Amino acid sequence: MNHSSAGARFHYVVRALLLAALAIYVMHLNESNLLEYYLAPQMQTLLLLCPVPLLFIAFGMVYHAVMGDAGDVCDCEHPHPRGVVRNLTVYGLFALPLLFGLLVPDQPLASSMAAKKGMVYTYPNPDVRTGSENVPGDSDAAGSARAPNPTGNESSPVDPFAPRDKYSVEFAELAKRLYAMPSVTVRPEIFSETVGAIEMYKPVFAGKPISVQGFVFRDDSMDKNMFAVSRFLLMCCTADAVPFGILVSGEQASRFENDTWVSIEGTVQTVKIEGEERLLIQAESIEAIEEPASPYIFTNPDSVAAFDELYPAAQP
Amino acid sequence: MKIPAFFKWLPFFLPLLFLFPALMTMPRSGLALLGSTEVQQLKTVFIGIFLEALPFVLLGVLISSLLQIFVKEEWVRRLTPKHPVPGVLFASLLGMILPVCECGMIPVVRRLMLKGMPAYVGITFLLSGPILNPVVLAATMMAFRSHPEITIGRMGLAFMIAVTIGLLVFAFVKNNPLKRSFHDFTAEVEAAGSRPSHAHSKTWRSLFVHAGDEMVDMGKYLVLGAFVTACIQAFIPREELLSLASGPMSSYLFMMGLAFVLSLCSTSDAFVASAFTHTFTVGPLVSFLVLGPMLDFKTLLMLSAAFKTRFVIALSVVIVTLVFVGSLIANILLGG
Repeated sequence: MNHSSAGARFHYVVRALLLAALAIYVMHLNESNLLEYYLAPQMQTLLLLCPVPLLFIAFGMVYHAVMGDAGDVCDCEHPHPRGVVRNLTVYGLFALPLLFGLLVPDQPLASSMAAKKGMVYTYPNPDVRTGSENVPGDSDAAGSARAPNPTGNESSPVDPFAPRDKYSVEFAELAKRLYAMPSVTVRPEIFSETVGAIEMYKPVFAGKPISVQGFVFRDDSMDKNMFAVSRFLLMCCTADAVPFGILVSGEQASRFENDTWVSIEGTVQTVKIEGEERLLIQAESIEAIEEPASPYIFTNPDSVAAFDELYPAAQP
Repeated sequence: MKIPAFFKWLPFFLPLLFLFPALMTMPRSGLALLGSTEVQQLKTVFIGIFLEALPFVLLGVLISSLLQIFVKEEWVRRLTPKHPVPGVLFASLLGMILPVCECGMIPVVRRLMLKGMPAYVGITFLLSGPILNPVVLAATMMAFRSHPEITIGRMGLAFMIAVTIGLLVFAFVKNNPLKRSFHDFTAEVEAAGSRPSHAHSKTWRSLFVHAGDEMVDMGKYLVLGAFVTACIQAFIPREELLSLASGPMSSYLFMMGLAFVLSLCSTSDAFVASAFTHTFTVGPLVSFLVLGPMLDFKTLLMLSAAFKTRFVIALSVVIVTLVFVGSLIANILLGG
């Protein structure tokens, strides 16, 4: 009896140590700003609520193991694993994230993962293919055909940024503001929305100066003067990350290795690839930069408001 | 006084404590052997999934421990409707007021069932909760802004399947499907009654001990699920998977298989699905959105922690079949 009680106490201490180590790992990631590599901001907030309860639980378990009466320390609720091998498996499994966390260097998602997931070059457009119309890119064609007045003269009586439907009002509004700027800077806060807005009005934005930062991604089909300047778009965590890129063409392009972070200045162009009109930046200068502290981009619930906040002076 | 053997061994473990700071200060470059790109990317996805699920699992086990200590069996029995149909309908809409995602759901449901909630009510709640809740509704509507039929299809199908399976469980499952049966549970408590000191004290301490036990219990399955999912994401190109889905039927199987292996959280899967909108019709998309939260690699392992293996297998087969048939019908009704 005494022996099994000691065994139960031992299990409680091991479990408590594992939970405490987990709490410390989360705090360590937060201290060194590494949570940015794994989670979207709202999930980071949720995660940071965890260490305190985890430490309380660990403390409670140690207290229970050391101070509990013999009869109190029982394993009736959750049978403890029996045998050395099973013990090692169960606790080893729980320790796996900790081992990975300590032994493998922290790295943000990179171009090799982008290749596995498949690079996305167009803003994930929520158009569902229906059974009857099987023409891919059908909606794109309709969109560019209907974007009137490619010269984009603002004094023109026809508004070049008339929204296509009620769902593109936000992008139309954003595009109007972006176009009013002398040169478009793709800010990380509204990265996907900015690219989406430019893409929606590709003909209007053609020739507009643009600057953007991201990492270099290439696939086999690109010629050597081309790459895609890319960011991963996260919803919650790295499992749902979508690699999102803009094609870049320029003479210096071949000098930059995959995964190098670059800053690009150039002009907006379009190019036809695989029967699809895609956005292309004709680069005037490409410079290597430091990897930003927050390598991913996130969706913004209100990109127009975010734009106004970023450029308070530019409000129409 | 006899000193328990444990205390004799305790000092030997003290040096282990120094391992933590030593490991923490290890240079970030880590071991060269583990520094290959593939392993690093695997780690990024693995830790990402694990950390994302952690708050929800913790919330689930804390709620479960609170239920264990403060909710009496009679309350659960009195609150549950007597007739199966209102019982199932009540359970399928419970998620609307209790938005817990799938990882947090399993410990809560297991606890409620140990407290005497009928299996059919528990299972219905388990299946509908992660989909039929306001957070997921909002996320799906955001991701498919211009296609409300996807949201309608997802919510409708999830409701139908949860209710159907609830009624099936009521009709066919007579034994308790939990691993720890209710009878064992009460028998043990009664047997322990002869030793008065054994009765579990309802204190903060037992709250934490229960939560910690359950955390390790659920955690190991979460880790395994997250790890396998991360391996699949890091080593198998999605285009290769997509090339398998050429025919109209295989597109359903592909999307369901993808939902199973990706093990996404139900709040974020709609966005991933929206990347496939140019490739697939309404049916496969709905099958992805309904199957994922009900059954994926991570939850399957966590389910097998709580339920008997035979029950988990039967449940999985029924879910897959119903989702397949249901999304075929949804495609005809909504796809036009």
